[in-house]
Amino acid sequence: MQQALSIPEILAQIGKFLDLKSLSICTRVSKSWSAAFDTILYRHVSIMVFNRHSPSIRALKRHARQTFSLTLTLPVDLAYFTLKCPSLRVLHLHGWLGTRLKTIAGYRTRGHRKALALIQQHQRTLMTVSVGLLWPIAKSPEFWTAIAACPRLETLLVRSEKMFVNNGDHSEQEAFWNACTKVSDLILKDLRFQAAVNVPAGLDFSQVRKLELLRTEGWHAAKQVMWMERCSELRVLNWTLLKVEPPVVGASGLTTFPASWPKLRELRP
Amino acid sequence: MPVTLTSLDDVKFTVDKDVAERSILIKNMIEDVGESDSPIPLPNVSSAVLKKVIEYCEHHRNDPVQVQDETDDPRKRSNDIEEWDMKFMAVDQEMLFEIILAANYLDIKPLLDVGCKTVANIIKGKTPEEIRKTFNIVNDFTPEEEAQIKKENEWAEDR
Repeated sequence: MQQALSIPEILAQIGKFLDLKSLSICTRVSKSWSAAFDTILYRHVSIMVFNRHSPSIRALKRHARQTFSLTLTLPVDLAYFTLKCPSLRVLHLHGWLGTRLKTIAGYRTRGHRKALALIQQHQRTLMTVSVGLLWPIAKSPEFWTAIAACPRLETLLVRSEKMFVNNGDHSEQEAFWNACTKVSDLILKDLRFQAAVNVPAGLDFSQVRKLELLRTEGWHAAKQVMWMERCSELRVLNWTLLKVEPPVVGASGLTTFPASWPKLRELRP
Repeated sequence: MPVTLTSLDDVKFTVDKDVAERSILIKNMIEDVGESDSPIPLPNVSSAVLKKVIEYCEHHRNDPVQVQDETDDPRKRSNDIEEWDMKFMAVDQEMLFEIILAANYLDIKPLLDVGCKTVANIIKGKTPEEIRKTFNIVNDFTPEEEAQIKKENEWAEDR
């Protein structure tokens, strides 16, 4: 055998250029290859219900140490929530057909509890949490309080279409905005105008260095700016609007921004 | 200012500094030692391989320094090899792996990538047995162990 093929670092380099299928085949070549390529195969794991192309819980448990990023697209088997991945840095929680989650018996409450436990278990290591169409589970203050309690959380990506519709109870929205103040990279997609109204007055967003607001809907400049101005240390702003209202942009929008963000060095688009 | 490199078998190569500095190892050595006429010994690289590596570095001497892309997600990586590199890598297997080892030792990331892409392209589409045959690897699994791994990792293959 070639000497290079017995060096784990070289095998890892080769593995970077292989698709999942080839990686899996490589794990069957020999014991040393198995060890080297398993590490790559289980580095980014995505679990989706009804998908044969997801590793079994048993396989994942054996390789949990190697899992660096985990994507759970709900409603997955709740047993996946009990995985202990000590190296986990990135957790993506996505809701698939978010609105239908409610109709799956018990999933909402049990799912919520388990998701909460998963986040709490990883509090010391989580660097990124990405929450997709998850509103049945994310619609609770405890969920966001758990996220806010991760001391090493760096990035929070929330995509929500229905999460922040006004419903009279603002406690989960307050908890959500509090979690937003803990990260340096804050990415909010499909944010609704109503959400910005409920940003609690006293929150300090000075941790946020990079703010991306993508496809902001029902945009109202004055209301948005009120909380965005509190990102006093902002370096990068990327803001795209779904429905641009030109008169508002001119009146109280972009023109007044630089004064609030003395350290801003990048404004997109 | 030219730099002299000495291979494992004591052959001396004189190359321009910017060519030699495609190797991060050599670049750091030059920075540490400062300007000097004494040759840089490369005791891990034979003259045949060093000649190839220099050929690569000369062709790529004006390339912009590669930005470290930290994405280790295989789906985001490209397997494209540019035409010149493809011809450059059309060598026998022994030389291919010698180049990879040298690129790894000398810390020439783009060359290491091209080498590993070439190996990845050889691996693709082959069965485990064909891979063993190609690279002369001994199967140290029992049939049970191999079946077990196949079962466990099958999710990734079934596409």
